[in-house]
Amino acid sequence: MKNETGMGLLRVKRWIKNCIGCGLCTGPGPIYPFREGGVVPEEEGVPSHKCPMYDHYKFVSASPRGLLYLAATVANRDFPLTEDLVERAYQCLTCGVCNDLCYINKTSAIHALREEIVEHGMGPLPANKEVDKSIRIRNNVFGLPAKERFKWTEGLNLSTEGDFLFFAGCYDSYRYPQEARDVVRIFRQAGLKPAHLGPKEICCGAHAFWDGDTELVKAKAKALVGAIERTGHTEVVVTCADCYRVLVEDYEILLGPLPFKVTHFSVKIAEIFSHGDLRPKHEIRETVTYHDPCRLFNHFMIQDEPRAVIQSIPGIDFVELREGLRWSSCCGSGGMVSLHAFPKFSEEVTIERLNRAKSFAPTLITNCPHCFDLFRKVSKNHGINITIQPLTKLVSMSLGL
Amino acid sequence: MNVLGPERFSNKIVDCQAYSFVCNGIDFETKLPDLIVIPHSVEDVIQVVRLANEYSVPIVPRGNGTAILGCNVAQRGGIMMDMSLMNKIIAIDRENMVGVVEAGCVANDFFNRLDQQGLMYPIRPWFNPQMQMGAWVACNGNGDFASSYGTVGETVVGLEVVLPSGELVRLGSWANDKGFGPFVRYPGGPDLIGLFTGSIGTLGVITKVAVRLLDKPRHVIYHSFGWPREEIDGVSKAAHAFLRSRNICNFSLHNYWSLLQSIHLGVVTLPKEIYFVANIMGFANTESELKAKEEEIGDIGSAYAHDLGKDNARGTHGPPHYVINVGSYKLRRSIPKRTTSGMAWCQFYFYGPTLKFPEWWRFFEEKVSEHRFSDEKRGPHLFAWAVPPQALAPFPAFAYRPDDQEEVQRMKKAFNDIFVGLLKIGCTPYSLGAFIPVDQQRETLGSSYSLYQIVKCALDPKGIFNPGQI
Repeated sequence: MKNETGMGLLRVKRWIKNCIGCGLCTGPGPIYPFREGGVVPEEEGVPSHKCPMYDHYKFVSASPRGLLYLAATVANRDFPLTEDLVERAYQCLTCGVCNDLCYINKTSAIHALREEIVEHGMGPLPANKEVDKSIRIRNNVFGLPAKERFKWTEGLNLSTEGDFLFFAGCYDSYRYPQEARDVVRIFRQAGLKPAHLGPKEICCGAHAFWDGDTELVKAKAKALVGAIERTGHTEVVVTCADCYRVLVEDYEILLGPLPFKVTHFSVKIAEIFSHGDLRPKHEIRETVTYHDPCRLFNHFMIQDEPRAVIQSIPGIDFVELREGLRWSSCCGSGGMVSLHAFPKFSEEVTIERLNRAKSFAPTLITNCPHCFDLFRKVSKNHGINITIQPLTKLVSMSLGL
Repeated sequence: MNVLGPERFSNKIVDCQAYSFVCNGIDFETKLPDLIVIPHSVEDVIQVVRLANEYSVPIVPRGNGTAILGCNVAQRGGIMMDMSLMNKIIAIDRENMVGVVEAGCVANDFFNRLDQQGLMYPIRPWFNPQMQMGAWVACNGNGDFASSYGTVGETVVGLEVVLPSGELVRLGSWANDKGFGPFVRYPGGPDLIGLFTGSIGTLGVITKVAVRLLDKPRHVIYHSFGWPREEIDGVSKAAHAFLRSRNICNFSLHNYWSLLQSIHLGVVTLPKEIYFVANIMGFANTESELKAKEEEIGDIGSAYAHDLGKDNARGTHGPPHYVINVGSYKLRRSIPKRTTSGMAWCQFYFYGPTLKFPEWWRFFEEKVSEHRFSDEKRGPHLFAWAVPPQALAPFPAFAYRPDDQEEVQRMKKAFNDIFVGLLKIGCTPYSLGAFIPVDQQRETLGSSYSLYQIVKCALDPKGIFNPGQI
């Protein structure tokens, strides 16, 4: 279901009341009942966890159906926006598992609630406001000088001309420049010429989107889309799942159809590998498992391509982490909103995920710099013995770069 | 509340508001509890109940919160006890064919585990597999296969209950601590389990449930029969005959409107003139039993109905997908046109005799039409199970526009008018609840209402358990 923005709860008021509160989004057990002889199809599996927020807090108010009911009472019955309600509204990781369990677009409704909260001057929460301030003033989520953003491009001879535009995003630009450099080298190895916006690249505003500051994300969207449009590029490749989501879905709602398509790195590489333009050649003898970023998997069902990339690497022993072939869970970042506003909760989700992954393989492959950053930090801080590796690095190692 | 730890209770208004939700939609106004409590164990429950008793604070046990008649609403504030954390499957006893679960065990989870072991629970909920077993017993629900096995209450072999005094009791053969556990319901004396099935938390908190189990059948029979609108008498005669035969496990009745979504999705195809559809299911364990039952089902159906073959019944009741006809769930990944058009449902639950079906269904249709919720584009939904010995348990509904205030007010009026009207013509409520006016409860239950009151006063003299419901 396409997301819409603006107007707070007004845009969702009509349909959020259709949630009947059945609890399918939170309770254990199969996602739908089976019948005699009708065991849940193997490819669906049975999620042992559904909503991370409910699993942690245990109150109905901290569940998708609870939040929808609260949003509906705010929209339809003048229930006040209290501080406690605001807190609950921002606890949701917006991972989208609940959307996959029934047709009602709960993340859209929760986002609308957050917009309503911001419109009433009660949000975003202080920790998120700080991040928004960084985005507003410095055009990145870290509050670091804007000119350091494209430092990673030094020596790579990137320009705005090429076969497609590579949008590195804040995390790769500032925290993991090596990953950004790997991406460029990988594409060059495939005979492609990635372009880059240089100093014109700014934060996509995903964090501002998810904390309900529509004005800010719209301003950034206009600036960024304008900059991309001026290059004439019709394809933008991203490594970050959050950037992917906001560029693909939310920008279009904010600004109308975009003059370019957005591709995730893992999808692009899978395409290149499948055409035979490039083949991983160096063996990597490792047992690995893979974490699906929620913004790729739950929001867009991108699951096959990253797996195809991993499994094409010679020597790799790939073990599936997902329950059945269907159920993944958030790394704990929650679009960075929960990460900053509820760090303890966020950390507990990450720890749970890491411990689960550890029982499958000694190495966890990630496909989003948010997930990578969080897994890396938390595993180190808590002594969880698992190697975290971004997909970009795995590919570049196997290409001998 | 320090007995539970700080993370297991809340008096925040946001939490209390979320627990005032009733599954019949937000347009029904409900009351807020003052405190939410989430116990982990029976000991937690006992401590909370004793405290509530000491201070005469109302206490309302709550499962998944999906009962629709308001029996899970804190009518007089107080403590709402969310049983969700007490969700373990304690034992699946193949010897005695009994399953023992904590009250908060989600039905769906329990059934999945049973299925993996070649077993099944006799009743299958149609609308909400996330309901909790303790609450389902407390509401005495039903579902698929009730036509053979009766209501949920009838499958209970043992109960563990915390009484309003804080005393913990076990009922059935389970009461004998030195015995063989829950293996039979009647250990001598009156049926004390029956006191608590359907009691909607007014007489105690159910903490554990022991239920009978069945082996999964080797064969499942599906067959559908249909009737044009004007042959409504044939519907009740068929239901009557099928229930008498005792060779079916499921007789579920639909009308065209409740199957509309399934028709759109291609799961069900109906001849143009057919308005009522009965989906029959039967179980068999041998080929000869299968043949005999199929023949009997075919014979009975043909005597009273138009044969629609096997596919419709299999489509709506068979594996693997769960097609919802009244708007609760949707086939995975499909968006129903009706609900995205913004409609909501006003739903009813009651019981009526099979042979009186034409009378009470016509009453319902006329009333829905009188309140202007029926036209050529939206009719009242009918979905019902046949329940032995000779009852239909219908869950009819009509659609309304929840963002149209005039329609919401009219819906509330219609709900009251229709429900009370159905009770006045002799139907009985499926369960009690705050949405049924007390006067009507008294009238419907007659002398049994006084008996209920006597029992209630004996067990709960302070009237703290789910007050305001009866």
